[in-house]
Amino acid sequence: MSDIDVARTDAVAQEAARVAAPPRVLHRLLRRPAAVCALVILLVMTGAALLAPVITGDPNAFVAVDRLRPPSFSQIFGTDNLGRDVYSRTVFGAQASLTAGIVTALITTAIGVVLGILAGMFRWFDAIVMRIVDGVMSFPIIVLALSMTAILGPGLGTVILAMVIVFVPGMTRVVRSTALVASGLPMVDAARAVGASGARIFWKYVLPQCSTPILVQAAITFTTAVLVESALSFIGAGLPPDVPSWGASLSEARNYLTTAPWMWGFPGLALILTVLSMNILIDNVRDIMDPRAGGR
Amino acid sequence: MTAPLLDIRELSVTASTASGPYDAVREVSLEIPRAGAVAMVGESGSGKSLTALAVAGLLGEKLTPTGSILFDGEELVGMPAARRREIAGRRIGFVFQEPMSSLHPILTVGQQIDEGLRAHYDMTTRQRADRVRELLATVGLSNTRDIVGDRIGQLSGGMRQRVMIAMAISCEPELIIADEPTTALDVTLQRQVIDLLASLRERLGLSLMLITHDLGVVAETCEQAVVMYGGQVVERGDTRTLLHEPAHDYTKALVLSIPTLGDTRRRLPTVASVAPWLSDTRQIPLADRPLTEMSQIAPDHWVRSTTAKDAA
Amino acid sequence: MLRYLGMRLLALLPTVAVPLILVFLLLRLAPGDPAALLLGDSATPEQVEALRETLGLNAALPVQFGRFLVDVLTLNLGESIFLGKPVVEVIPQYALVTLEISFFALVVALVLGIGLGALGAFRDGRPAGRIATALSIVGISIPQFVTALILIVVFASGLHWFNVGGFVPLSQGYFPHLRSIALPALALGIAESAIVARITRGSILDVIREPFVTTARSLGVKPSRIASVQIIRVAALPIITVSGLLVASLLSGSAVVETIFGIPGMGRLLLDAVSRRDYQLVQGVVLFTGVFVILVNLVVDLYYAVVDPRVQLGRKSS
Repeated sequence: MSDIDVARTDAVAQEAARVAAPPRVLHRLLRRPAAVCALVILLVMTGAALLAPVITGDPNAFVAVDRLRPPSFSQIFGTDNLGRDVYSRTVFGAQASLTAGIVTALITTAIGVVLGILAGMFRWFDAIVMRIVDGVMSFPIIVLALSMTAILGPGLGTVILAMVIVFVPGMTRVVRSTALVASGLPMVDAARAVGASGARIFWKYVLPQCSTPILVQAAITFTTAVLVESALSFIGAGLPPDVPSWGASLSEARNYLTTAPWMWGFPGLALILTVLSMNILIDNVRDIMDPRAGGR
Repeated sequence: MTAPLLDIRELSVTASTASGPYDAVREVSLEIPRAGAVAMVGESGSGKSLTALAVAGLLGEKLTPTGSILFDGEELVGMPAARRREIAGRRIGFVFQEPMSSLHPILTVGQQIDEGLRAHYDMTTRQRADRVRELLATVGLSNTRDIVGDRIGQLSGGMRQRVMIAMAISCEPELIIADEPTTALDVTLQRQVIDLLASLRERLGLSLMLITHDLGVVAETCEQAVVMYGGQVVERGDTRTLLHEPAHDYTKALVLSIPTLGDTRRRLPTVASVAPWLSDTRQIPLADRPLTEMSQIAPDHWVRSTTAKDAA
Repeated sequence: MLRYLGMRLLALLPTVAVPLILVFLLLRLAPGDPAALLLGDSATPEQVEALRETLGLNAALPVQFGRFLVDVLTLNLGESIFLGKPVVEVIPQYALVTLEISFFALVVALVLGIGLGALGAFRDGRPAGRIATALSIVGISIPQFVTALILIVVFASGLHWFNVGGFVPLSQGYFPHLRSIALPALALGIAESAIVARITRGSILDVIREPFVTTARSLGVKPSRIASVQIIRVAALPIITVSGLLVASLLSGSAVVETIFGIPGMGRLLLDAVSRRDYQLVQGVVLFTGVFVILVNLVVDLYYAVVDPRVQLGRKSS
């Protein structure tokens, strides 16, 4: 087949890729005020997590003789029931939650993409593996995480492992269906008709269409992971007790709900804001990609 | 002459888009006499569907009609929603283009036709059920198996379209608007649907507004035709006259592009996507152009002037 | 219909199989000797060995798995080491409590969620709809335990309508019992309702745009009737589809909520079993949870098939 024909279909694929690509979506995202706020908040949280040792002191140190002191100049979020600085614990807590969220999202995406592509390409793989994978999706995550904790011991690793097991099916399905939809596009038919190879079609035509949906699913995995990790830390089955995390802080505040609301107010707010911001971003991206669906 | 059943005068439909208001339909005027049939002809995007939707009161939120639509003397533009609902179905029926998506996927045929009856009549369940069977028989669906309990997914394309027609006539309307009722069907089914519409028209004394881009159908079924382009009426009048002595360049091009038996041409002429007076190098969008005049050149023949006015 | 359900059952088997196999494998392959862990540091090697024999830990892995399968199928789930009773005796009473709370939570989630979602859809773009939509996106960002804490602050500590903690069993009176589970059920239900609201809203908005709605309008059918008869029928499908996942989510959340309110449910049971390394009990809970989730999903599938017969014909719906 003449090179000119393939070049033409390639050009279509390129344009389609450009329209669906993350950079362009980001550009449109930045025009929406709510999305910009959300992005800023997430950056602040990430910055706090990364710079924790620099911007605040030891979260486990007892900084005040007075326990349960309300917010003041020296401890801007107040102190908790053991006299520790709530601000410090909140900032360090970001590390735990964000790490859990990001690592889980990354591993889930890696595994899910591989499985999803294989499922899209091979019918037998699809039939067997998808059944198993779908089944796991329906199992309550916290029950699974707890039972794994029983055997493997508590800790971030166990929690992440349990979450990955339950979240991989979701990512696999997204990758699989996006790949299937992309391979059904007319431009793929056209490319095949002019003799483009399977590999070329995969890398230039199908895969670029999947990048943004994969990112969206990764973001969803992130938010769920953060929520689950905090729930597990709350009931004491997540991270070890000496590691500060938002869930643990909230748990410690259980007996002081009305007497020292700053103890749970600030970590709680940090947690909610992080998840909320990511959810707002996800909603906006979905809206950009398919403005027809559902509106906002 | 008795007053026409439907009298549209200078109807415009404005769409509010992200980049400002846009006139999708501009000052359309036409009449449909009682028991008369008028065809609306034009390519996609010419505004014929929007005009029909405006008459039926089915425009979406972002579309605003201005001008006048008189139905049996009543003004439809700006009519309160409640009164509109009384007229919809009961006096104006609508047949949609794509029956697969325009009929409810889960409710049965009987249930769907029932909804229309419930809205306008005070009948018992038994009476409604009888009426449903009557209607199905009228559209020729009683010889096949009893489909009242079927869902539309179980019916063939032709049957679905008949169900749609049955729904449209269920409340004995005076005007039926059919929006490209045959476009989604194959040729044999097209024949059946057109024949059905024609026979219903005769039997029930209906007026018909038929939207189509098939000039053959127009010639057969409608005494009058309205040719639309770019949201405007470019020519209208007696069908025979329009087809044999078209006055507007666009109509001429349409007629010329129909292949005929004994045609010796090797290539069919196509209608240029830009009408003559639009081939202006400055490329002003159609909506911004000043409307030219509509003049009557015969008792039943109006045409819009093709000469542009002084440049804006 | 039977065939359809049979196929669904087969498809759902991994839901219980995978976690169970996982637990089985982890128990035998994880570092540390389970028997030694169970007996503690003071055990003699002979005692450890004896326990290993009892638990059948010395046999080859496939053999162990075979025995395991047989045990599972005959409901011979062993004894809880710490409670001294057979697992199958221990679980039911805790399970009932969790199921009761989850049921009420489900009702709350559906009523609140569908209401909020419908509001967001039918008043889309208007103030009421905007508030509803905003509420639901905030709602999915708040974990259940935070909702629970807020409810405690407002209703228990603040208004003194309820007590914090202290589960009252049914035997001590219907009303006190209900009072003790009201807050946990509410916390769980409110947290879940946000997801239901979002799905409902999206689903209704999709359906409103469908052509058959225009057809109904062309017949002069009143908007309220179009909404209740035609739209809901189709919009409800995704909600039904997702109910299976909803229940799983409720079971997950209930573990957390039970801890806060001191409710003796499956979540608490599991938590205690985990901290005491009561493996048989952990296994039992996993099995029970898996089976329950499968049953719920089957019921949902059954209901879905009744509501939308197209599914049985193998055709895709919506």
